[in-house]
Amino acid sequence: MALLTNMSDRVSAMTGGNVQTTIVQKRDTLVYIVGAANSYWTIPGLPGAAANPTTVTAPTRATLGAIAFTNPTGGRQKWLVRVALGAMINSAMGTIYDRLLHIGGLSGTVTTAQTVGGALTRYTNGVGNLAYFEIYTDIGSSSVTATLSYTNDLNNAATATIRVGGTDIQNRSHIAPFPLNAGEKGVKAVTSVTLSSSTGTAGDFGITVGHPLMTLTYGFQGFSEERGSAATSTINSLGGDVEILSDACLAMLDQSFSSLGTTEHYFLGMLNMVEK
Amino acid sequence: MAITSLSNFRAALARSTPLYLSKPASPSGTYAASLLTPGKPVAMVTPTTSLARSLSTAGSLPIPGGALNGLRLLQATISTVAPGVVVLCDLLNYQGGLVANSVSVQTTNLPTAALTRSTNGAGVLVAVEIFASIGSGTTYTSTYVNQDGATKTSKSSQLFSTAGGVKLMSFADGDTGARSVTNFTIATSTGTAGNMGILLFKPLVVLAATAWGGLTQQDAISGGLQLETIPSDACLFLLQSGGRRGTAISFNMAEDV
Repeated sequence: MALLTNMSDRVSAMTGGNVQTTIVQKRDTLVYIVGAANSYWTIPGLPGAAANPTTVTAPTRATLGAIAFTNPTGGRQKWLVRVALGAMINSAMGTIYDRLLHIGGLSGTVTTAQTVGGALTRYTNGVGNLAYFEIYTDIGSSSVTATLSYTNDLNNAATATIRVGGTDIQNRSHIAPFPLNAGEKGVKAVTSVTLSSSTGTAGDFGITVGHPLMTLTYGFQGFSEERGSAATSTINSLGGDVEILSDACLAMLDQSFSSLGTTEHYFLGMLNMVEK
Repeated sequence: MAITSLSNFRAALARSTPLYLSKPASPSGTYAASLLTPGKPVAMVTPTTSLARSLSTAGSLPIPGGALNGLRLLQATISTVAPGVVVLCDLLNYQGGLVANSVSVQTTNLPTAALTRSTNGAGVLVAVEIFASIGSGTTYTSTYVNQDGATKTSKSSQLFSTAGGVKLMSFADGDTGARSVTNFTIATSTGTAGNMGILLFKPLVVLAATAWGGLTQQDAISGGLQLETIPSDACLFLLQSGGRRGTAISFNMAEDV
């Protein structure tokens, strides 16, 4: 599966005629708190803002909100080889992931099990997949436990919990992964999510299953709108070549390690892909 | 011919010509374009009528001419006093004469002239640059022709307030670029006319300048670049953040041979 068997292979792939460059650009005023990531799925820019999910679906590259790319042809595979990004927030980590499944329309006041369901169409064995709690409209300020019931990569039923509401994630675009249990490598299916008590406001939240592909860190700069910049390439030993599966729904989230509060965030970046 | 091996890359680097860009301060709190600031290359003339721009436009980074086989960006050495992001762009169209003291639909020097590169508009971004202060920041919408030839209205987009600031226009959802901009309407008058204009440009490479007051060197081997193709008649400029205390960059480009 290794794309780049040596440096010449890599150089050749960069100039071989099947190179793709995609611009990403997002801007919105969001709430940044320590410990919560922000999802850019419904944020305006390039790509455009996705609609809040309702019923469970498996999004693809054709879904509004997905980062644009073309499927490889001629028996080749698509590889993400570089991401470069300038961001307003600093001391943060960005993640490019394949958005495999999502549901929205769940309520922050319902304390019975809320069904998720659906079926993955990529990474179907579950390995490397994470389930996230994602908020589309602010939920309430009471801190509660969210319990996820899911099937792991070993085909066993399992549960995982995170805290939501209160000083934990509660605002639009907040997203947080459920931790895997010992021995697990990922999430294969999600049955339901249950809140321990009401957060006080129904809001709109959902469960998202994603497959992280590449991470990059924004350095500390200290200037408004010119804080972080990062370039991550698979050549400088940051995890090897990253395959982009055909029809992948590429999306992005990032997590600040400082509490910025309500602030306007802006980023402009570029993804470089090659085929072989 | 593509660069097919590491030895080809090294040979291309050896025959490449370094091109230097040096620009002084740019405003803080925004992106800024290198176009109107003095330095190397020289400042462009503040635009009025919408014109397509090219390598021959005064103020464009003077890349080697006559590159019939196309140019590739091999290496960049960036020195910025403050870290940030540097975007090497191809300026396609530049116009001015828009004001901030009227909420009427503005068509001065619009629609923008036809593109002469990236003509289908895919990947072509739109931004508004402030040439003379408009007093305070405000928002606007524009009508534009998208990458499919359809007329669309932008989302509400921000304007910077002082000269040199550049903010990107937010496309309608689903659009990936623009062929032209038809009109421009600000949401509320700032009380100051100022002067601002629209850029249509294509980002070619995003570079991360991560060192305080130091050098950042990037090439295809370090992973900082991807041997990007540079149109041989491109009107190159920088869109950057973090460069408010000055930026110097050298680019090495070579023809595919």
